[in-house]
Amino acid sequence: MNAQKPWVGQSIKRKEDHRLLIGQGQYVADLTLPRMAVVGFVRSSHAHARIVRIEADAARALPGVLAVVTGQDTAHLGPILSDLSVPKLPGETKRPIFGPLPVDEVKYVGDLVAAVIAKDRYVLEDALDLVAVEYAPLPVVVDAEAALAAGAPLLYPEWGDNVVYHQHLQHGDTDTAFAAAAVVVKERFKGHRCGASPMEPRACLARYDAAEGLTVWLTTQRSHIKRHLLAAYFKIPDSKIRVIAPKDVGGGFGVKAPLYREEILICYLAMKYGRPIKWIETRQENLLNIGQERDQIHELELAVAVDGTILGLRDRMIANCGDARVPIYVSFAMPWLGMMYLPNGYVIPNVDIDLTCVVTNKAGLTPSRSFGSFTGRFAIDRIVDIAALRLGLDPLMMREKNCIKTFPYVTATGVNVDSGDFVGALKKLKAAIDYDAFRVEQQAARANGRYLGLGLSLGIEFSGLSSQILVPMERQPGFGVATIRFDANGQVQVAHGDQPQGQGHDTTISQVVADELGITPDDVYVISGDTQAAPFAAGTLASRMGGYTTSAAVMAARGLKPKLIAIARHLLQITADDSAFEFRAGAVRLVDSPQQQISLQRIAETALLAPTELPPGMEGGLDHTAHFEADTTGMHSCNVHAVTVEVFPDSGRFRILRYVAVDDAGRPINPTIVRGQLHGGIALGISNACLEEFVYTVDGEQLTRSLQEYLIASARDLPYIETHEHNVPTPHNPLGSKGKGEGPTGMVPGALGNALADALAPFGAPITEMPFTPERLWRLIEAARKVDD
Amino acid sequence: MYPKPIERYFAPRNLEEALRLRAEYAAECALIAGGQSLLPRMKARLASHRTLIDLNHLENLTGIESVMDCVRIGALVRHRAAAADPRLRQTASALSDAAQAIGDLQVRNRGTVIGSLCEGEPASDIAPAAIALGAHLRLKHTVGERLVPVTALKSGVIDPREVATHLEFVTPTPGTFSAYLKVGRAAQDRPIIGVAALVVFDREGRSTRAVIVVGGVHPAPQLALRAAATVKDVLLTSRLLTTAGEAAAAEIATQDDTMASAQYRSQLIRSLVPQVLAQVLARFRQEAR
Amino acid sequence: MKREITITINDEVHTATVEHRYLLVDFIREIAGATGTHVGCGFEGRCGTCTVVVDGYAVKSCLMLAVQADGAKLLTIEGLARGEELHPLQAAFRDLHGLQCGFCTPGFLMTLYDFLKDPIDSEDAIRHAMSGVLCRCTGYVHIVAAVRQAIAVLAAMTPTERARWFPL
Repeated sequence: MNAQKPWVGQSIKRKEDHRLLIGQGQYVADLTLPRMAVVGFVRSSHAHARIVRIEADAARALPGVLAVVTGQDTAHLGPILSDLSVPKLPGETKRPIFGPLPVDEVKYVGDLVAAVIAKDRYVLEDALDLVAVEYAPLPVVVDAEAALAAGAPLLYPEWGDNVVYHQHLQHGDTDTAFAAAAVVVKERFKGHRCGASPMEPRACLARYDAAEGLTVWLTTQRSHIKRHLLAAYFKIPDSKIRVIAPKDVGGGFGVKAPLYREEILICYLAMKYGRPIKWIETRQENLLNIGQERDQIHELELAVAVDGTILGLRDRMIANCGDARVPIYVSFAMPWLGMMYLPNGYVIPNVDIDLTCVVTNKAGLTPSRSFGSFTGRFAIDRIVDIAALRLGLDPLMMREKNCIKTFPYVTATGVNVDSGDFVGALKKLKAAIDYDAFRVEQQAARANGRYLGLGLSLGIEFSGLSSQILVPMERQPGFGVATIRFDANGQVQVAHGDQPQGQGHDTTISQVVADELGITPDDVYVISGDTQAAPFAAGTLASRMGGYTTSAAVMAARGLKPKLIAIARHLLQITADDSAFEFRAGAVRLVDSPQQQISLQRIAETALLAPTELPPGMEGGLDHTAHFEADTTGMHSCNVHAVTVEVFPDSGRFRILRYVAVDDAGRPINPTIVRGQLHGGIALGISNACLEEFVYTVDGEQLTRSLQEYLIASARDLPYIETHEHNVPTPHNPLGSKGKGEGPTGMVPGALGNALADALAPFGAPITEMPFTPERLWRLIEAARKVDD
Repeated sequence: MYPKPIERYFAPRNLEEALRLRAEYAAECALIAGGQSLLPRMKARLASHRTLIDLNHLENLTGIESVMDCVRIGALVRHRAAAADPRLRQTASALSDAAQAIGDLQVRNRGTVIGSLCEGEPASDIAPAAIALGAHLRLKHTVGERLVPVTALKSGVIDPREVATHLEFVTPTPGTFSAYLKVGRAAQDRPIIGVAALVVFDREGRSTRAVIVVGGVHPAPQLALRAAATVKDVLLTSRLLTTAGEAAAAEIATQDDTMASAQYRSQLIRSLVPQVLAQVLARFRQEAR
Repeated sequence: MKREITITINDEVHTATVEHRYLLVDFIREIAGATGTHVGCGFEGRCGTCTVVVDGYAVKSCLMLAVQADGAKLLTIEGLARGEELHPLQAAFRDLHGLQCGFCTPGFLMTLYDFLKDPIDSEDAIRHAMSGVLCRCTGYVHIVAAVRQAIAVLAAMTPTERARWFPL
């Protein structure tokens, strides 16, 4: 290891891996406690019904069953949503009233009805089968537009309608823009219901004792927030709850960010029954209840000048939020952010967007990677291509013309894009995809009856979200925070608020701190996820690590440096300015005579074990905490993707020939980890766009409750993914680094949809809906053929 | 996700014992070999059997043998072994293709060819290939045995006192070439269509016999008789293959379900039948060189 | 309803009396305490994270009853390394960033262990072999690269060396 070469920018191997590779991971399901019992849930088989009666005697009588708990038993706990757990956004908001278990009514198939506690999971399942529920069905509505129509069944009758949130966002003058346009393109886009279910379903282990309070091991992305909300709900001090996300959580992607009714209920059961209670969600429960997102309609209009310049945008956006009983997000935070990001990386000075978030008898939307913007990005990228086609302009040129060029740039929706280079990225993309050669190949192929297509997408990806956005949106702070502490043996502990679910945070932070202090990543160890040990932070969301949390770690290290230098100076018994010293090879030393050095280990021993040897008047101890809030509301990366496909019209099947991403990570801390985020994000995007769909019948029956029906892409369903770097450091944090993860997924449907439309251009088949299944494509082709006949 | 309690579990070491147990418990018991279809059903509690007879320890059922003029595949031959067997690959490629196409590596390691047939699922990969080969299932019970053609297999045909011990078909004559192709929504998905085709060529390259079987589009696999007739007694051309596809699409009944519509399945028949025939033709030409 | 069974897991013998319906994956995790093998789905047996090697073959341990493995020899993720030395496949995953959250990793390692006994060194064949394990984090690209490295490393060994890495 060359101590001179910075760790930041090196693709070092992950520190996390050895443990995981030898089967020593510690996930919630791996934990056991004495006297532990397991809990499971009776779930509704009706989409909307009154609960008439719950017969649980047979279940209770089964040997090994400890209790059956219904809404009657938990009604006294009160409603879950409070000012702490409802977004406070501009526009009109309604608040669903609900407790951990429904008392009277179920609102979707899979809704909670009762909890059963048993000695093991086999008996538990036998007991769940024995609970008999009598329902009185109520009218069902699953379609968002039907739910908006007069006379629709109401999920929350006290509201008078089915609208949980509405905002009308206007900026500039769309009337003039549309009147002046050479071309107005109007299309209706539909994004289906799909999301980011991780491989590890939810899990929770709660233990209570009167002295310590509650200890909750939880597959969560945000330990401190959950702790605070649980404490508020149960009216106990935060000090009486400890939430621990274990070292290993099997994927989050936003799905493990909300506070869930089940988690609240399990805490209550642990307190009531005085023994540890464990819940491992089955995949069936998982697919019935969470990981559902997207589900939006955009009636989008684009006003374009004759030279292709975009003048304005109008959108009537309708989001199907399901029952919306998802604390913190209330299922409308995602569509709201999707609305904010609708103009995306295009310069669109005039916008008029009307967003209506509708409740229906489906599961509530939960955040999923690409948070609210998957469908909107599809729509905007598609309509740009449609406008280009109408004007006879090349889609690449259309993007070169309309992409953001001067930074910082504030979108018409108020999103601040601090830095990036779309023009350069598009140049790189054009070369990488062999754009001109492909067009030639495409022409030749068409002459031979083969249908090749190329599609592009362009997007901004947020690198964390500032407090200015997160406080109103999620009632939580946007700052990154890190505490650096020295051990007496000179090792460095970093405690931070951004717990990982596989993103390699330990390694990344170690690299950053190692550079600051002149040590190696192995000299650093990282703590997160435990509210007792990690500093208060909002948790892992919005690609915060690479922009916010690593910056906090840098600031914490830099905050400690004056003290480290002062101690070294004192031990060396010399006088010299701080600037005369450097941190190198585990020591603080004089730049001009490196043999004059004191090791960090010695400094730590002095500060912690022998403070009498410190400079006179100096406090003992060696730690520092920094909170990082960028001096801008939005750090962003600017990225472009291209896809080429071949479509087989006689079956609608298609092959992805190449997928190419040109990506901006500002200043990548670990380039291989960044690539891994790109691959994973794009894979999710392709799987969402092509294979996955949560299907509800008109009666609200859910047809996709196992992996046999909800199809997650395997290695055979996905192409090789090529990535290229086009990094533009952000001026708003010490390293210039940008967070990664959320963005790549939302780039996929536009690029892929555009490629399919391009391939099928000879047929004129409209590509405005997802998923891109072969049958759907075949029908579009056939319909277009019939029009020609 | 856990089966209901299983009262009795037997793992007999020889066939006589297995047959005796089967006769004793009959409709109350289920046979388990690979378990790759049965266990998911039991775990979903769609099936609950109080008695389970595990066939995995039976001897003499793990082989693929030539017996007189027949090929006999034992009840414990896994998909993996069938896919890898060089004789099957050579003489009964459709079956080899089907065994390779099922599920994934882990499922193929455990699941058995015969188990796949006995499950009677509409989306069986093995059934169309077995039918194309004119295969029969040998069913044994305590006092006798019988052969049932795979075409006749449907729910209720196998008596609850019987055990299927072998899949048998007459060794294909030289000049016989076959193939199986499937289409699913995703790689791991069950087929929404699976087509097996078998053609016997004479030395001049004329087809003297053809069988086309379409599965996955309807509760049971169907023989595309008219389509097969279009490619019999002829030299195969690509135009003929297209005609065969059209004929098959016209004669084969298809159904709607959550995976695909009847109409789309008919289109896939039209598109896939020529592809399978082309594969058969390519194999013939390969061999002819 | 119950039966006494003996299953050898990573050369350790485990004997227990279990219900007939008790799944093999639960025996591995609860009775042998080898929690490196995971459960990621329900009745359907599609996620592949429970994959282990039984008598030489990769199988989904959630699609086997424990009683069916009576007398069998199993290899799980905990048994791949030889002391401190990682299996070439494990080393390749570490070298090439073949894992992120690690939840599906046991499924891939044990499935690919089987594949590596007689591998085909092509992207297509490798993706084919991998299709029974689902990953949500990696997009599979680095995993394929890791398999190719493992194939190369194993191919460069003598037959005796190679055999050490495939005890079952």
